[in-house]
Formats: sequence, structure tokens, C-alpha cells
Amino acid sequence: MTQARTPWIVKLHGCHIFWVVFLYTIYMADRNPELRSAAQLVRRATLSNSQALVKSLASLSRAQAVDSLLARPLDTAKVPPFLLELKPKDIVTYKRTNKGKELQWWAQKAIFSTNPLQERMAFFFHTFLTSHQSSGGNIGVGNQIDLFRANSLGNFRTLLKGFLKNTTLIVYLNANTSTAKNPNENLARELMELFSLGVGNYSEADVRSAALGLSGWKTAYADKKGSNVTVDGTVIFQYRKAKAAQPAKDGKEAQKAEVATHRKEDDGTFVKDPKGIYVADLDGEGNHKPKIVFDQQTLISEYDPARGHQEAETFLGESKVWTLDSIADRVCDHPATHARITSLLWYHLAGVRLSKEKAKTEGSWWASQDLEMKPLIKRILNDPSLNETYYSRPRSGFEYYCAAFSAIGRKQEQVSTSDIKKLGQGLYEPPNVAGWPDDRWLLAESMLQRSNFAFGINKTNSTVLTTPETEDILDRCGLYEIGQTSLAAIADVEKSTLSDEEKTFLRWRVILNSPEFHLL
Amino acid sequence: MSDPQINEPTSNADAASPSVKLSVTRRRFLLGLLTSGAVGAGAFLALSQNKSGISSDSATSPASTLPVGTSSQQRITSPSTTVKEIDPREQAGLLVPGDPKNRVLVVVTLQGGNDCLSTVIPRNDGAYYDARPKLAIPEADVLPYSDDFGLSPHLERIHGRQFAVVHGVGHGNDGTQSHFDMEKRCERGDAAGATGTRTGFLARVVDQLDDANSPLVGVSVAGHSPWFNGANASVLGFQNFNELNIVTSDAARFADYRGALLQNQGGPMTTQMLTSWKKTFSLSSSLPGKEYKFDPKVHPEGTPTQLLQQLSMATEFIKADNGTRVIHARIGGFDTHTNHANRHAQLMKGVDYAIDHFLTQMEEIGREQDVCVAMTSEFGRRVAENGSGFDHGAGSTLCVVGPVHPGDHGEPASLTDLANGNLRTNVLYSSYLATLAEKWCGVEAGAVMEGEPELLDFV
Repeated sequence: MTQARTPWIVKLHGCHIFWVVFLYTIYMADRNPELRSAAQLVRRATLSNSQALVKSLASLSRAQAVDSLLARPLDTAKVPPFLLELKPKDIVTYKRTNKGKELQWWAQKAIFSTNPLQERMAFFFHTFLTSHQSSGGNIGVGNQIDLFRANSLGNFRTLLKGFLKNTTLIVYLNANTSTAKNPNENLARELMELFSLGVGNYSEADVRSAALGLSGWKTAYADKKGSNVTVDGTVIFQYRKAKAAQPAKDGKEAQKAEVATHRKEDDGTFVKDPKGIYVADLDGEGNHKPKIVFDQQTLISEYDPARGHQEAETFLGESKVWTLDSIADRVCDHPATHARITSLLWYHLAGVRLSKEKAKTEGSWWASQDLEMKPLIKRILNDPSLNETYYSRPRSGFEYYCAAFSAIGRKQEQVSTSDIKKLGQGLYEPPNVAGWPDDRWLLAESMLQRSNFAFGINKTNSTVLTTPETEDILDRCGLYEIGQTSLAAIADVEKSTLSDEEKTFLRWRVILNSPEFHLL
Repeated sequence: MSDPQINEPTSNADAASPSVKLSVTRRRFLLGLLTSGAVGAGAFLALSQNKSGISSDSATSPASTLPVGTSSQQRITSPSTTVKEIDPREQAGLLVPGDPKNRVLVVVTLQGGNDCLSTVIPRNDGAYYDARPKLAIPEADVLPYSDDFGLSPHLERIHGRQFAVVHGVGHGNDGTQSHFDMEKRCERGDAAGATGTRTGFLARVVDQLDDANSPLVGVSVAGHSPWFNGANASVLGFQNFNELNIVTSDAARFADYRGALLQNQGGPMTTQMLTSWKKTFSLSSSLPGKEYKFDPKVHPEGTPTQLLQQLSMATEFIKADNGTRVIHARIGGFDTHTNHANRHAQLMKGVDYAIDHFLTQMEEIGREQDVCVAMTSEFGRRVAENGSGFDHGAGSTLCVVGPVHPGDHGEPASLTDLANGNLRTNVLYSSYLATLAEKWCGVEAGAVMEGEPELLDFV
């Protein structure tokens, strides 16, 4: 590195609680400042960190660049059903949901979508409107992903109502067991604490009233409720491992063999194989036994008036007969919700923690925009302070994955939910209903995970790793402003006794672990 | 601490001294049972018979008539003013806990809802056999350890060790039958799901145990563990030792990588990153993992490896003596709705072999007094069978293996007075966990648990 390096300017950002924020002077004066500004916008407004997008926005002013991101048509693709079709001989066609595929599909969208801001915002909602994939099957997860993606640049009120009716959420927070007689407070509490108002803005009496108002919602199968049903004339079975016959022994009954008809391949498909390991579940008589059946259309949520509460209650100071929609409207009309969602988005997009006063003002402004997301996003991304705050918060595990994935040029089919999980942020697997804590991403566990991810890249799984020039690597990583200690660390790679190829790998790995790359 | 004596069992200087470290192997333990005097053996049998186990204040407890007390230590006051504490385990030739500062808690989660009635069998209760005409474990197969209870025939190795059984553990009688909900309550040490805490129970424990000299206080050998969620202390979760190659390997590409990352001295938020890297990389010098490779072939053919592999990694951490105090392992597959008999038997064999092998390793390095393996599971299963398996239940029975007060503790749940077909809760999960925290780890229960959970006497 021969370019002159300017010293760091260190300044404590007043409104940040956790992080010491450094204001950067610009490394490499000959680098295009427009690229730097565009890179900062892309880093924050998208997950993909695409070099091509940075270049395409570089000639625009900040306001124009933000407008161009907001003006892109929505990517309207929906999560496909991902059913595996199996045809054991002489019986019927079997189908089985291919669990986890919808998460891979969404992660692919996050990186390769034609509307990267839409994906960034869909992910933003997933970080605090949480659900877990273990709740109610993956059909509801697919529907929720569709909901977030379709409304992430739309209206918050619409999105929240759709979310509250999502089958995965309903199962996740026990709303399906909540009745007027035995209201379950789980969803009501989290709706106010985590999804809208925030702690301190409601009473325990409000929780109880909301629980009553939300009671009666449940999940159901749309075509034949509560029974084993067919979809398109087919029956879906769960598949289990084959077993050899067991002779009667020590007073235990003899067990019939379970014939294996299908073998699971590495790619998740099933092939016919008499010696395979997967077979249809059998009942006690050795007959095939239909299990729960569903597809994208059949699992729904519905309101059952007989289970719901039909009497007037006082909720947030207003007395009437409450419904899910009117409760959602009430919390959406509350100033605390405006301040809280605004604050969350300011931190997510800009890494800035708003003061209480500022949150109130900003929330009030957002309310005047009828809780539309686009004006709020535009306001944050155009805020002049953004140009002064580089690297103000850590990338979360998924954000790190998406940025690194696109930097190293992997292909869409290489998106791996297992790798995402290894980085501590498996989609639809939040550690708890509060989502992923902001302060975990730079702790030892995360740094080990990221160090491993960066070390795991090689020329067979990441074609661009033959790129030897530091500046090219920095460009691909979207790092147009980088401090001198990071540069020194990269430069030190030259001192290594490794081969030139290994040195190139090391340079990549070091840059993917530079403090700047870990941050937004 | 409600009972400081229990946390300081090594007030007996001889027992605490490394040079005369009491080393009780499994064989010694069994021998001890056979050859120790009537007092010791009697104490063990009494402990086994003491179904309530926590009734040290009960005048009617069978154990209260014994010379060495119940499952907690008893003071024998001499005519002089000196007070000598005698641990009944010591008298019985059993393991007593080592120095509190060296103790390691190993939590093994049986994920999916372990059928406790196939694990600890109420072998004299007719209701058990009535409810499970096909799936009850025949009395002749049960491995008895007390008058009323015995272990699964597949827990033969654990049966030969020093273990405690805690009966009637649950989340209260209002829990749901959701895996996720109940796992959450276990992980957070929030039995009733009402405290609003969001941090993991083990996270709170390691934060209390955090020591600037310990590079790694908590380890999950089962990948990321929600039990450690929110820990400020240094915690690592990983699934195989390959993930530690970048920490442990001497090869140049690893060493240069580590060196390069530690060059990051002055970037934004680097202090935190550097601390994390330093903590992790400082393991390199003392972690013997660089030579470690799990080899299933050294174990008998067909040995289930899921838990075995995890506990083998745990062994490496304990050998490394890096200050690791809490380890979490997890074995799945306990959701035995169907084909219970075969599946559960296989699972028990895996648990039995893995824990026994792990504790044998601890004996070989002289750490058997320092390690306690405590099992958890989100719930037990329904009392009555349903087809070839069991539906989700509620109350459970848990085993703890190591230098514990052996025998039955807690209060066994009735098999006839059920809550929706499930065992009732007699001991809150928070009591079980709080006991491990305070009496084993030496962390005051109040510092890691809301409310004042009642402490048990199994350790």
C-alpha cells in the first residue's frame, strides 16, 4: 500500500449507547467519492452488497439513488410449495413438504432479488415480528415470507394485521389454544411488548383485554378440517426408516418388517430403491397410514366466534368489543408504536439509536404518513447525518452471510441455510420471541463463526478468489472507506511464507474479517 | 446459600488436597458398596429408599433414623466446641464433590420429551402396568436401585455408577404440550414461563462464574445453544472440532490467519472484536484439540455416536483445563410418538454408553469429583400408551450422575392422580436448575433465578 493514509478521526457519537463510532476520513483519495457514498447506501439499504448496484448508483445524488431504489417494481414471486413427490409402487402418489426449502428460497431472494430494498425491509420485519419454523409447519413460514416481502415497502398496519393472522405466529404464540374461557396471554403480550408499543406503554389489564379480544383464532385445514385429507387426489404420508423384522423375544411381540421402497438422495429427492431407508409410515396392522396432510392452500387461520370473546372490554383506555383487527388498529394508532417502529428502523438502516425525544418526533412524522414504509425509509436514507456515520452497527449473522456471499461471487444455488445457521442467525430460528439480540454479533462465538466462514471459502466454492489485487477485493466487498490498521493487516499478508495462491486466499479472508466488513 | 456446608464439602483438607485427591472409580464405587461398613451401605440404601429425598426436616423419614442423616450432610457435634462435618458419601466410599472452583456442570438435554417412565420405572406400581399394557418395561428387566424404582435395562452402566434421581419435575400444571414452549422454559430456567426473562439459564450461570483468567467459561458441544443466550461471559457453541481448526492448528495458513486477524488494532468497534478473537485464539496453546479426532471405531460396533461425540469433545475441554465450567450437550430423537420401544431403547443405550465413557475419561484424568452430568428434557410423555408410542406429557423424572447424593429425590408423581393424562409437577424445574447452580456450581440461586426456588438435596 503506497497511498497516503490519513489518520483516524475518533469521535464518540452522542446518541449511541453501545458503540464507539469512528468517523472515517477517506482512504485512497484517488478513489471515487461517489462510489463510496453509493457503497454506503447499498450496504445499508440492501443485503446483497452488490458491486454492480454500487456502480449503477454512483452517478446519482443520494436523493436520486434512494428514489431509484424505492421506485423499483416489487419482486412479486411467491414461495413455491416445495413438495416432494414420491410414488411407492402399487399404492398412490405421496407428497411431502420439503422442509427448509422455503428458507433457502428466501435467502436466495435476499441476495439475488431484483428489488434489494424490498428484501432488506422484509428481513427487517423478520427481526422483530418473530416466529419459529418449528411452530405449525413450514407452510405458515412460507406464507409469512410472502406477507413480509409483499408488504415490506407498503403499509405497516396492513402488514401487522396479516402477521397476526399468520398460522405460524398463531401456533408460535399459542393463539390457537386461546379461548374466551381460557385466554392465553402470550400473543397479546408480545404484540404490545415486541411487535408494537414496547414495554411501559400498556398495563397488565390491557394484556388481559387484548388476550380476550384475540381469542377464537385458530389454524385449520381448509378443505377437510381435522381429518386425514387428500390433496389433488393424493395422500401424503410421513416417511420413516425401514426396519427389519424382529422375532418375538423376552416376552416382546414379534414385529413385522417395514419394507423400504424409497431412498433419500443427497439432494433431498427420493428414489425408488428396495434396499432404501425411507418408507411410508405403517399402522399397527402393517397398512399404510395417512398422516397430516396439507399444502400451501390448505393450512389457514380462521376465527371461530364460539371460541372468541364477545363482550366489551377496556383496552388502552377504550371500551368496546374488540377484534383482532380493531386491536391491531388501536396499537397502530398509538404514538408509542410510531416511536418504537421508527426507532427500530433507524437503528436497522442507519445504526443510529434515537433519543426518546427524537423517536417521538420521528414517530409523529411517520404517523402523518399513515404508517407507509416508503416515506420513512426515504427520510432515513436521505438524512444528512448518514453521510457522517460510517460503520455504526455490527452486521448480524444473516447480513454478514449475504454480504460475504455476494462479495465472493457464489451462485444462487450455493445459498446454504446451514451456513446461515452456522453464522448464528438461522432464518425463522430466533433464539427467542424477542429476536436476535443486537449485542451478540461481535462476541467470541460470532467471531469464531465468521472466522470459520471466511476460512471455508476456497477457489472451488468461490470462483472470484483468484482475484489477487487488494483494491479489487475491497471493491467487491464494498469497502470504499477503510482504516489504516485494517490496511496494515492486509498488507502484512505479503510477509507470509505461504504460496501466492494461499496468500490471495488469506488476503480475502482477512478482508472478510476486517472490522469494516463486520459492520454496516 | 441456604446450606453452605454442601458447597464446601472439601472443608476436609485431605479431600481437597490435590495430592491426596480421592479417586473413586466406578469399580471402586461398587466395591465401596459391597465392602463399606454397615453405616455407609446403610446410608446408601436408605438414600435409595427415601422417596421424598428432600425430607431432611421430616421426622418420619426413614433416613432420619440412620446414623448419618439424609441426603444432606449431618453435623456430629462432639462434646468440645469443634464441629466436624461428615459427608455420608465419604463414609460410604462414594465420590464427594471436588473443590467448587474446579467443578464442571455438564447439562445433557434429551430433546423431544423423554419418556421418564421408561427411564426410571416405578416397578411396583400396578398403575404403571395398567396404563401401558404393551409398552411397560417388565419388572424383571428393570435395574432396581431402590425399593420402588429401577432404571431402564439399557442404562446398565449408569446403574453401576453414583447417580441421583429427581422425581416429579415439571413446569407446573399449566404448561402447554408444545416442545418449543417447554424447551424455552427449560432453557431460561423459567419453570412457569412467567418471569419474562429472555436470557438462558446457563448464560446467567456462566456470567456469575466469569473469570478474567478463563478464556472460555461456557461451551456448547451441540452447536449454538439457547441455554447460553445472552451470556456476557465467553461462550462458544460448535458441533465439531473442525470448527476449532482455525484456533488450534499450527499449519501456516491457520497461524498466519490468526496473526492477521489480531493485527486489527484500531478500527471501529475493534476493541470488542479483538477481545473476542484474543479470547478464542488464546485457547490455541492449551486446547489439545489439534490432535483430537473422534473415531467411532474405537467404540463397540453399532454404538450410537450423537451424544458420545459431543461428550468426547467436552472431555477435551476439561482436559485442556481452560477454566470451562459449564458444558451443554444435546441428543435428539426422544419424541417417540411411534415405535417407542425400539427407539427409546436405542436412545437409552446411547445415553448410557456416552455418559459412562465420558465419566471413565474423567476418572482417567482424576477429575471424577469435579464433573456432574445433569439431564434435562422439555417434558415427559403421556402416562398411557397410544398405539406404538406416547403423546406429549408434562411432568418428568431426571437423572444426575456424578458425586451426587445417590437415590431418589423430589417427590414421585402419582400415576393415578393425573392432569389431563399427564404426570403432575411436584418439583418445579427451576428448583432442579437452581440446585445445580447453587450447590454444584457455587452460584447463589438468587443471582441466576427469579423468585426463591426451593433447593433440593441431590447434590
